[in-house]
Amino acid sequence: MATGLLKRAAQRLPSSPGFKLALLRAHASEAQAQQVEPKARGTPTLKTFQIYRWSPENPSKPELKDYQINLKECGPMVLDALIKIKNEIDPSLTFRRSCREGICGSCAMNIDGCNGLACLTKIPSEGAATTITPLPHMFVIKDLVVDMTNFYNQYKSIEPWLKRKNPPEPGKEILQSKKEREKLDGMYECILCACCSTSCPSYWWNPESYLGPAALLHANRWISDSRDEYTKERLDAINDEFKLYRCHTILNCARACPKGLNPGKQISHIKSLQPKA
Amino acid sequence: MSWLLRSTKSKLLSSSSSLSRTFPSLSRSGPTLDLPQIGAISPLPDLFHRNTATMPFAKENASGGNLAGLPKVPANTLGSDSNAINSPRYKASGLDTNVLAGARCVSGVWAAQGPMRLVVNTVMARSFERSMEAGTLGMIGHKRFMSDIPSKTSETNLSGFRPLSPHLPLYQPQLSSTLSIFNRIAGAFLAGVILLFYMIYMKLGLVSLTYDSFYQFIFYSSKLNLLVMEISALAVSYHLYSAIRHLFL
Repeated sequence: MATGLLKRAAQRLPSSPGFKLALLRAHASEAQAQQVEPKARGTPTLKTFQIYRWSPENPSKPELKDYQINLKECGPMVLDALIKIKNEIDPSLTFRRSCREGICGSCAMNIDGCNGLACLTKIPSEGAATTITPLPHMFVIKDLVVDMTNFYNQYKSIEPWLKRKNPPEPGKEILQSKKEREKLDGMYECILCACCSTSCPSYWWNPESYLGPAALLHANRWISDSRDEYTKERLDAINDEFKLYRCHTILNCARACPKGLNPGKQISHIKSLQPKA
Repeated sequence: MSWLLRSTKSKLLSSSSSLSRTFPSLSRSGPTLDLPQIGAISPLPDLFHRNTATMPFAKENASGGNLAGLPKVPANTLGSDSNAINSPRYKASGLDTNVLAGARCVSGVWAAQGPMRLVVNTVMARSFERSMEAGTLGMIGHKRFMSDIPSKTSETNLSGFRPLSPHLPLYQPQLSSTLSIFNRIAGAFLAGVILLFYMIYMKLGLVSLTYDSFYQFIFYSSKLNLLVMEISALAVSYHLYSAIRHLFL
């Protein structure tokens, strides 16, 4: 654990008299991401970013390194700041990025204590330093790049493809009404960024046995698809005390999803479909 | 340029002068080398994740075409991948070339070596970038083979140590997670209170204890019963509220 992180955690824990009030203040509000402060013109606006640094070439203790950039010469998103830091200050900074528009899900990271995509997160106001760390409770490959092998294998284990017992004739499609198609809304938009899974405390404590909100959301996507005929087999496959029922509806996943999906709701739907023993 | 894909080796050799005029960079390279037969090239185990999967294809490929293994290039060399593609052994393979690439088969190399695509029939790489498709490479109709993704985290972790990223001390408490953990705390508190009060006030008469300090402790701490009841009432109401809220998830 980084020493700087422990210090920040110690500072965040308030003393006992004002514990409840400070805890309420420490909550992340929806409006924080939207606030825009008027910026003074002319003078450079410096912003400090504390970025998690660890390299396998020099395997020392991970640390939070400070970088300062001028917000007037930078784009409005956190990814713009990271690219600027990599281009001008520290080329060895490593992170994943691809589409820059919230479609590929590559630049998922923890920004100021909340999971999100760097390309969709606005740079907070220039008052306090912004902390950028990799996705929580994942093995770090380097800096902000984490090992997604376990996450992808869990997604693969739910067999996310159309399975039919009676395949259609060659050249014939499988029809689906508009009402049946609407059931997939809120599930097909998932970009597999792992923001929801790595924000779930249950996934932190059971990262391999519990499938996680992302995989279970996709499981419900194929269970709800009217063209798929293996509904019962899919439900039986995840009817497990750890695969499915480690979900305690903490609902951090719904707040962390950058696409606005609600994996907790989909998991409740799976639980309701399970046969009553 | 589709005629080049269908041309035979003899036609390609006869039109070597036009080929050198079309691609000046090719003629600038060194003289072409004779490529040894497939039996002479030992399979490179470090390039492939699973060696057994490549042998059946290599056997059926021995009848026709050439199998060219990329020569090993020192790591961290700038443009090493481009140098590998430009090696004489690779260029001398001619038609029906099958590329055995390692994990460094990136799209930048293919984009830079556009003309070389015409002599490439098959690309077998350990991994492709997500954005790479058959259409992007201009290899529609060509064969592609990819190895499976690693099945365990330890297979991708060669250095041995990887730190776990910070989670609980760092993550900002959310309203949803706070309500959830307080629901659990209330449940645990209620369970403890019910168990303790049952043991003390319902079953204590059955136990004959000879320790005076125990009875003194029970007597003097009974002033806290009202406080415990108040906290229990709060816990019961919150637990019930959370349960009802859970129904309207």
